[in-house]
Amino acid sequence: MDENISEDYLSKARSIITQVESGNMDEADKLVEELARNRDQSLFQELGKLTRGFHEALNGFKLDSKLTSLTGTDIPDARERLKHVIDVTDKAAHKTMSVVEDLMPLCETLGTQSDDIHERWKRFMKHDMEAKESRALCEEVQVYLSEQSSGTGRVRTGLSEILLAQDYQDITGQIISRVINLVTDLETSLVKLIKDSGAILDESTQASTVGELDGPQVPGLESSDAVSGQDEVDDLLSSLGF
Amino acid sequence: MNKDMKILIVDDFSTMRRIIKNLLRDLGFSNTQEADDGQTALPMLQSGNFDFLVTDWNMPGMTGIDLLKAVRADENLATLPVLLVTAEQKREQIVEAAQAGVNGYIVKPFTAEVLKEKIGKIFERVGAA
Repeated sequence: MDENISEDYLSKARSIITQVESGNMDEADKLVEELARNRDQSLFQELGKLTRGFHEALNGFKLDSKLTSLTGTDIPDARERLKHVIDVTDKAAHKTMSVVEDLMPLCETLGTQSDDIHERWKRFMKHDMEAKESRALCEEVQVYLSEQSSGTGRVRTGLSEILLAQDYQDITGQIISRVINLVTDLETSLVKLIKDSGAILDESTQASTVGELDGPQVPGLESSDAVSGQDEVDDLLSSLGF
Repeated sequence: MNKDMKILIVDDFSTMRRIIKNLLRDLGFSNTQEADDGQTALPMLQSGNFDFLVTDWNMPGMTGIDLLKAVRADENLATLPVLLVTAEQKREQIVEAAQAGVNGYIVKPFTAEVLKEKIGKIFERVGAA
């Protein structure tokens, strides 16, 4: 009961005593009635507060069920989706590297062949070659041209495979966007829950990250005590005597 | 520098192991083996006569820094040259690696040129010592 009401009670009670002592019973009755009305009023106020509390609790419960669905369904779902991102990017990287590993020796072979023939061709053009060797060269050029053609065909096919392997960006981009939305939803729900339960976020509740590995630096989110690339790593190491 | 030297590549991501393996091969080093974390790598190192260790830092099981410390603590491996190739670039971590006795530190993403330069420097120094 608040102070105003108790003071009001006190002054009315004193008046009642004064009126009864003076023999004004009618006046005293009136004051008693007023007192009773006051008590009802504060009862209604308390009831109002209770109702409001109940209403807020119900709303809080709705929020809780949102959190329940977020943590019960959406987060595990996001976990699976992110695992899928790892799988898809892994597959694309291996696909690309397989093609490169396959084509690199081919390019080397074609390059060596072409250098070799080029050297002899220069001699042939300067008429610095025996007839027998020229005939052999002509036959080799014939074979070389056909190998060159099938080789560049393989390179072209490989390059389109590499091109196609980049489609992972589209899929992973979509998945990651959805997960970002989910994290935003979760954040909103949690902030509301914290506000509703009256907790205050202060410095001491923020988790310490000392000793944890940061992983790759993300543009815009660089850690303040991280270096910004190989040059700075080298500088730091050389300052340590490396 | 001996191009036939035996190199162990340790990273939990097979793509990164493959990239490093390919880059090393382009530099003329084709005698490489792979492990996916420190726990797998350490017994390989202890029994495998490796000449050089290239390792990531952040791996499940045993991290690269713990692997480095274990290598330095093992009398048969104590002088093995170790190159860390990692996305970790906090000053305190670089200092920690230096104190643990790392021979080179490369931050990801890196280029073939950086890898070549660091390996060159490591073996220049090891050769001079």
